[in-house]
Order: sequence, then C-alpha cells, then structure tokens
Amino acid sequence: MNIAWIIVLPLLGVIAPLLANPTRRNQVAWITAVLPFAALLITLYHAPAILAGEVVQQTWYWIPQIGLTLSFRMDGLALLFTLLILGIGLLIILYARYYLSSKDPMGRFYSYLILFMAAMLGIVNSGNLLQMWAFWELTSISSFLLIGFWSSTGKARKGARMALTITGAGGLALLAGILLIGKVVGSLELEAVLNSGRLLVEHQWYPVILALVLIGAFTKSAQFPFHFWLPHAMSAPTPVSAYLHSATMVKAGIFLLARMFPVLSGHDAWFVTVSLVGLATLLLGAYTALFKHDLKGLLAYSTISHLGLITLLLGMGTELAAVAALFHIVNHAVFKASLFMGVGIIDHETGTRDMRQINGLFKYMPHTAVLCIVAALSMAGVPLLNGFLSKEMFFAETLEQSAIGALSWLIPLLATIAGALSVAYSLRFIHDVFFNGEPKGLKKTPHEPPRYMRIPVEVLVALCILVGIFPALLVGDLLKSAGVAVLGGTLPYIPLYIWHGFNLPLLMSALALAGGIGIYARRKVLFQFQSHFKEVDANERFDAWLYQVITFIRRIEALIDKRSLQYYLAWLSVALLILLAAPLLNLSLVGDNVVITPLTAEVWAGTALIAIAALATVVNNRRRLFAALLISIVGLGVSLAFARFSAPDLALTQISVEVITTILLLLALFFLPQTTPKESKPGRLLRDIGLAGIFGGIMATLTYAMLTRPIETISDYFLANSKTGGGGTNVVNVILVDFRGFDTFGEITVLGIAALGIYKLTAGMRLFLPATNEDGLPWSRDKYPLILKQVSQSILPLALLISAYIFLRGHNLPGGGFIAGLITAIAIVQQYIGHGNDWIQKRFYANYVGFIAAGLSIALLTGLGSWLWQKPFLTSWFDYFTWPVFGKFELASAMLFDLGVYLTVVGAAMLILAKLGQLTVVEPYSEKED
Amino acid sequence: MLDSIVYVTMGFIGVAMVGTFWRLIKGPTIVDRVIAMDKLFVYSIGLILCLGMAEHTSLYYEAALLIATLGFISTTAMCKYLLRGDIIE
Amino acid sequence: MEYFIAALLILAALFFLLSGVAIVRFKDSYSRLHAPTPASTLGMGALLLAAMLWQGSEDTLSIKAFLVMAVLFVTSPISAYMLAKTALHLRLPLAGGRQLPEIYEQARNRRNDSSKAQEKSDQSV
Repeated sequence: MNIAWIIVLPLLGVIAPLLANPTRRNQVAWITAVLPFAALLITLYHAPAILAGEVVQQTWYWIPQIGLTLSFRMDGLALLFTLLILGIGLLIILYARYYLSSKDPMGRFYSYLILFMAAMLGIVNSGNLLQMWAFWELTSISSFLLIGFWSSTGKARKGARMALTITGAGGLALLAGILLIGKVVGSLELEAVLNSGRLLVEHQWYPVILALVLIGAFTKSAQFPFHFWLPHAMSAPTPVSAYLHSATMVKAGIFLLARMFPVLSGHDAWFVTVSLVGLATLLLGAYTALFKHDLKGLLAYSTISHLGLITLLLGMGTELAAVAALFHIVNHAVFKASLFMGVGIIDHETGTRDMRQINGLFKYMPHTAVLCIVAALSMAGVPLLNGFLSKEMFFAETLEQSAIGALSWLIPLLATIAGALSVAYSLRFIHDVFFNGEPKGLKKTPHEPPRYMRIPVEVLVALCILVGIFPALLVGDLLKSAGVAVLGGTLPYIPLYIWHGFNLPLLMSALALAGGIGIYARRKVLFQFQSHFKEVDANERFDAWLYQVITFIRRIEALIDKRSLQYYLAWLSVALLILLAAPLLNLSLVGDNVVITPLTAEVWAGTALIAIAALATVVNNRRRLFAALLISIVGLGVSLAFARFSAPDLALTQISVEVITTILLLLALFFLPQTTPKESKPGRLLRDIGLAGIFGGIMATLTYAMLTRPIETISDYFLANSKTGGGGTNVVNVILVDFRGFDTFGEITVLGIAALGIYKLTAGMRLFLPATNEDGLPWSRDKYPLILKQVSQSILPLALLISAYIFLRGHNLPGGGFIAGLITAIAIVQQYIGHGNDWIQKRFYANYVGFIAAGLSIALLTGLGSWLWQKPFLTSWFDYFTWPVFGKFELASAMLFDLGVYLTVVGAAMLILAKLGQLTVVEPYSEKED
Repeated sequence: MLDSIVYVTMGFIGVAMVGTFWRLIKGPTIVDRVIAMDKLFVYSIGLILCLGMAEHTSLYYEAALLIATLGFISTTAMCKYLLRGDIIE
Repeated sequence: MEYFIAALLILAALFFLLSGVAIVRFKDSYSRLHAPTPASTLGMGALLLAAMLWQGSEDTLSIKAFLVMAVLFVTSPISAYMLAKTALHLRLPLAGGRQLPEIYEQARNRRNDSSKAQEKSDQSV
C-alpha cells in the first residue's frame, strides 16, 4: 500500500460527510470515519517496517528541474504524529457526533475537520519542504474554518481571524525560511536537507533562516510572545479545541522544531532562543492558567504552558531531552484531549464553563468525574500516570543542560515552580468542578452524558494509565524510532520505567506536588494579588494593532495609488522601460542575409491609413463616439493587412473581435459621463506623449529586429506535422486545438472566469439614463425601427450558417471554434439591438452561464477522454471514414474540443454584452411627451 | 489582361478609400463619419474580392461575407447609439 | 467572356470611384449619404458578378459570391435608412445651412404603428 493514500484518503474524505443524509446523524459520523480509519490501517501496515528503522518514501516528479516534486516520506517521527492525528481524530469524530446539537450543520463540520486532518497528515508526511509548507498553510485555513464554525457569534469570528492572522503570518515567515534553506542546501527535498549535516548551521545565513523558521514554529505552537491567539481560539466547538490544541494544530510547530532539529540545532543561537522562549511560555502559561475561571481558558493556558515545556526540552540540546520532548508530545496529546472532551461534556450537561458556578459535580456525574480527575492528575504529573514519566524526564534533563551558560541553574528551579503551578491549576480543576459544595445557578440539573460520548474519554484515560504503568511496552519502540529520526543514528538509552530510585528529579517532583497543594490552599492570597493587575484583553489589543496596521497601509496605498487608470498605465510603462533598458541596449538590429519584402505603393498607402486613423484616435480621445469609430477603422485596416499578407484566419478573427469591441465600447461609453472632462495640463501631456513615443519606438524596434532576424522558426515543424499529427491542413487551427490544446484550454477557462466576473460585478447594478443626448436633444421615440427589426432577424440564420460553416471547415481551412463563436455572438447581439431584451427573453431562454459551463466541460472531457486509452491529457485522435452517400470524411477529437471553445466563446461574449445591455432601468425619456 | 485590370480596379477602390477616409476625419457631423465608416467597410469587401481574384483563390469569400455582415451590424449599432443612446434596451 | 468580365470590372471601378468622389465633394450629409450608397452597391454588384464569372471560368462557380451579393443588397439600404433617420433625428441642416423643421418633426413623431401592434402582440404572447 502506497503511503500517499494516508493523505489522499482523508482528502477524499472531505466530501464524504457532505454526501451523507444530514438528518441521519449516525450515518454522517460513520461515513466520515471510514476513510480516516482506512488511512490508520495503512499506517499500521507500514508501522513494523518503520519501527525497524526504515524510511518509507514515495515520490512523483512534476518539474524536477526546479525541485517541484510530490513526495511523501514517513519515518519514525512522522509515524508518531500520524498515529496521534488519526487516532485522536477518530475519537473526536465519535465525540463530535454527540457534542453537536441537531441545529449545527454536521456534514460541514466533519468536512472541515477532515480537511484539517488531511492537512496535518500532509505536514508530517511530506518529503518536500515546499509541499510541507502548502499543507502547513492548509492547516491555518482549515483551522480558521473550524474555529469560526459558529460564525454567528462575534467571538468565534474574531478568534478565528486572530488565529489565521498570526499563524498565516508565521507561515509566510516559514516560507521565506524554507526558500532560504533550499537555496543553501540546493534542494527542497527533505531527505537532502536532513542529510546536509552542519551545512546550514555553518552558513552565514543561519541566523536569518533560524529566525524565520522559529517564527513559523512559534506562531503555530502559540509560544510567547505569539501565545495570545490560542485562548481566543477557544470559541471553537469543544471537539475542535480538543483536536487542535492537543494532538494537531499547535503540535505542528513542535513537529517543525523536531523535524529541523538535526540540521538547525547544534548552535548556541538555537539553544538560547528555543529554551528561553520555551521557559517563558511554560511559566507564563502555568501562572495564567491558575486564574482562569473559564474551564476551557484554564485548559488553553495549560496547553500553552505544556507546549512551552516541550519547546524548552527541544532547546536544551541534550539527546535525552529531545526524546523526552517526543514522549511529552504523546502524553500531552492524550491527557489534554481527554480533558478537553471532559470539559465539553460538562459544558454540554451544565450549560456553562464557569468554575464559579460549576461545583460538586461528582455527585451528578461520577463516571465522568473519575475520568476527568485521572486525566487532570496526569496533567499534574502524579505517579503511575503518563504525565509523571515525561515530567520526571524533564526534571532530570533540566539538571543536565547548560543552555544559558552560568545562569543554567535557574532552569531547574523555574521548572519546579512551573511544576508546582501546574499541580495547582490541576487541583483547582479537580476540586472546584467536582467537589467544593453545590453547583450555583445552573439552568439544568447535570447528569451523565450519552454512553458513547464517554467512550473516547475512556479510551484516552485508559491510555494515560497504561502508558503510565507500562511505558516501555507501549511506546518504547515508537519513541525509539522517532528519536532516531530526530537525532540521527545514535540514540541514548531511554530510561522508560517508573521507579528510578530516590534522586534529585524525584525530589523536584515531590516539591512541585507539595508546592502545588500549598499554592492551591493559599490561592485567595494569590487571587488578591492578581486582581491588582488590569486584565488585558488580547482581542482588543489585537484589534487596535490591526487597525493601526491597516491605517498605515492605507496611507502608503494612498501615496502610490491615485485610483486612476492612466496613472497605473504610466507606472507600468516606466517599470517596463526600466526592465527592458539593459537588454534593449545590447540588441543588434539587423541580422545577416535577410531578404526584406519590397515595399509597394498599396502597402505604403494602407500603412499610412492605419497610422493616421490610430493617431486620430488619440487626438480625438475626448470625442468618444468618433474615437470608437476610428478604432474600428484601425481594426478594419489591420484585418485587411492580414488578408493581404495571406493570413485569412487572422483577418476573420480580427474583424469579428473588432466589431464585438465596438459594440462593447458603445454599451460602456453610454454609462460614462457625457460631459467632456477638462483637458490635461501641457506638462502632463508632454510626459504622456514622451512615454507613449518611447514605447511605440521600442515596440517598432523590437518588431523590426525580430522580422529581420534569420531565426529558425518552429513554424516549419508545425507545417510539416499538422496533417500527419493533427489531421488537419489548417495549421493555425491544428495548433490551437491540438498541438497547443492545453494552452487553449487555459485560455477559454480564463475567458469564462472573466465573463463570470463581469456578470457578478454588474449584478444588482442599476444605471439611470439621461433623458437627452449631450446636446440636450431628446432621444428618438422609435425604439425598434421596423425595417431594422426585420432585417436583423433575417441576418440571424445567415450568420449562423456562416458560423457553422466556418466552424466545420475550421480544421482544414481558415476558421475554427473561436471565430465561429464570435460570429454567432455578434449575430445574437444584433437581435438584441434590433428587438430589445424583452423580445429576446420571451422567445429564447438563454442560459449563457450554462453555455460557458457546457463548453468548458466538453473541452475538459475531450481532454480527459484520452486517458481512457492511456494517453496523456488532450492527446488527439482522428481517422477517416467512408459513408455511402457523403463519401470520405474525417472525424477528429479536436473537433469536439473546438466545440467546447465555440460554446465558451459564445457564452462568455453574450454573457458580457447582454448583461451590460440590461443595466438600465429607467426609460430614456418619459412617455408623458406622447 | 484580366489580372492587370483587377489591379486597376483595386487602385480605383484605393482612391475612393482615401477620399472616404478624408471624409471620416474631416466630418463635420458625426453622421458623416458613420457614413464614411460604412462605406469603408464596403470598399474593403471590394478590395478583398479583388485580392481573391488576383490570387486566384476563393478563400477570401468568407472574409468578404463576414465584413459585409459585420459592417452592417457596426453601422446599425452606431445609429442606434445616436438615436437612442442605449443600444441594447 | 473575358471582355465581359473586364467590362464589369471597369464598371465596378468607375462606380467605386464615383461614390468616393461623391462622398468627398457633396455639400451636406444627406447628399453624402444619398450618392455613394447606390453607387457603391452597384459597384459591388458588378464586381461580384465579375468574380462569379471569373471563378466560374476557372471551373468552381462559387455560391459564396452570390451570398455576399445578397447580404450587401439587403443590408446597405437598411444602413442608409438608419443613417438618414439618424441625420434627421440630429436635425442636420441641408447645404447652405437650410433647416427642415417640418420634416424633423415628422421624423421625430413617426412611430411605427405596426411596431406598436407587434409590441402588443408580444405582450399577449
């Protein structure tokens, strides 16, 4: 089984919950769980090999020249995370089934959740750093959707936005860091980067790379000073918090630290930064958690604190510390997920999360209470539970390190204090919620939750106890293989057992336990002390900061952006001039031995006409209709030139485009102010003439240089192969629909998108018509002159005939889907001009969006069709048949593709023109005049 | 003989085009300009047909047909604009 | 036959020249519309006839030339009609600045009764 399936299956699973019947909640949950479960089975299938030290890889090359590959890679570290993500994820799916109320859109929730799961799996299993980054950003986006799931509340929206801003910004920093790593190492493949040894550490860019990568990791893992988004993300539904803040989202940052550990650690900068940030986060989180009345707030700060602990472990630099970090990743995920779920149950059954209201719940829900108490004790680090083991290792390591030089003795001390605080808030959780009198002011009487809602908690709590008692048996191998992945070949002996004898770490644990109980007993004093500080609302601060940033950027924007098209154009031209200057100066004009076509009188005359018309357009740019008229004359001249120089295809296309443009201009011009704006100042005029002159000169020079160069063109290849390779003698069309079919497909897609964009932008737009023209003359009363009506109508079949003819012969003679589409569109527009909207709508229900959709689908399916014969996308096929009556004729798949082009062009052109024509609501003149 | 007569015809059409183009620029009214544009389309058809004759090919008929149809549509659109302002109403 | 084609071509050339001269020389918009329209249409007719015969003599009688002719013969009067209507609507003067107030009013107030009737029938559809 390919390991790519581990990511692909959940990705496919994103749509699964949406397919289920939303009223059958069990069904939705089951369908959601199937694909992640399959992914888990695949992971387990690969697990033995990976535990034995193998690295499973799967790579597809896309553009290997620039390092773009799709590659998946699973080693011990990735396996550890994959098991956490999938295992806890499945429990969350079960839990959420009972947590969500029947009003919540369950399918959508599961869909986001699975998207997030797939993104996380993508991060940990990517074999390419850029690919990992893409999944990294996907977690930011999907977590945004999850946190803001209850989007009707402002808190959820703000929390989601804050999380996205912080983690998204961190993601950008990470991208920069990754690109620099790729530059230094010469490859973005994880394998190459991990094998680069001390290359990165010794490189002069190391500080920059380290800073960028650490910003990415710290923002994601809510490390100080970026920790403030995490408590606000608690406005998410509790299953989301349980998932994001135990096993996944925040652990992605930790994962990144662990992943980069082999190549980025080993330098003082790493040890100092990572350990100090971790220490600060550890203390700050533990201290703040103590004062939170909100259950989820307490857990949020405790999460921050534990993440700080893991970061500190990774920053200490000893090998055993790294292993301890891995161990604590697992332990924290297990007990924190179960705690969050327990809190969710309490919230669900009591209707509040305020610890001042919830008291004495042991009586009402003893089963849940026992589960929560065990998990909380594990969080506090009480012996016989998993939290104790990793905390003991942590204490032991704090004694071994020397991360901050002479002041290193501070770390064990602070660690013990943090441990005491952690015991204190765990105690508060246990004592306040389950004992301490009776509940106050609850709206309902709490009772045990549904049977199945407890199962995920039970599983996790059982794991807490089992890992706490049989650590080596359960997680020993996993930790070893993950440790090998993080540390490289050498692995120290891992002391995975409960009893180490009486030693200093045990003393620290005892001190922490006693201290914690002490702190909790004297908590009134502390609360008193804390109440002197004003509570800072991170949300407000964040909003204020965001507002400042936005104003600042607006100010910059106002400097650059004058909201004027002329201004944009001028800047674009200047920028291009600067870019082009160097290559232009090195351009030699005329190549050797080029025979230049002699100039004849008619070419001179034609060129002069086009040039004069073009100049006149510029001079008369304020007289709109005249300018539009001149432009269409320029177009006519150009298409004549195409005809003269044997390019009938281009002539046809040019003239059709020209007329469509004229109609479009007329439609749009009418909505612009009819009065003439004031003339430009001479200085500006001079500047514009200068720019335009230079540009025209450059274009002329380039064209001349190109035409006089004896380049071997690729047209010979096309000429030679169009009949044999594409089955058509019209090379232009064969290139469009066959040789370069993929480009054409992209172009019609863009065309369709542009048309839809215009359609959407003008939706709901209503424009008022002036009652008179610019000279004050009222409009003519004859809306639809009869003769025009009749003749327009009779033109239609003729034009359709022409377009069908041009379409059909397109493959062999001038023509094709694009031109045919334009002709059809123009013919239909003429009906609009002659008869008006109402008349058309009564007779012809035209769904132009449908045209575009049909056209694109046909083109796409034609392209995909070649897969049926194991050929690459858009491989064309043609053959000749003989029919009894008609004789020999050709069938080509390119024809079908061309039909797609045709439909898209018709749909797009009509959508734009008809929509623009429908903008007016008010009659141009009032009927009272009659 | 015919070939050279075709070229002569093209020359005549060219002269007419230049005159019409002058009218297009000169005006004075917008109707004059639209008339000139309409005629320029017609002369272009003439030119293209002559070109087809001179080159002994029938490939240009579609172009001629297309220009004829499109010229008509352009002219009516312009007139509609002058008459009613809104060309699709 | 060849002479006939030659004659047609020369005729066409003359018609085109005539229409070109007319559009340059005439004094007001109405005459500038009036003179060249039939002239150029006739010119096109002669040219297309020549083209048909020529192609015919080369053994591929083309229906396309006929189509071009049909389209032109139908559309160019309509174009001229629309242009004249526009000129009257915009109250363009005759040569020498003479105005035609009654005709302007007539043109302005003319609404096609049949088109009204058709609008009614449209509504009943």
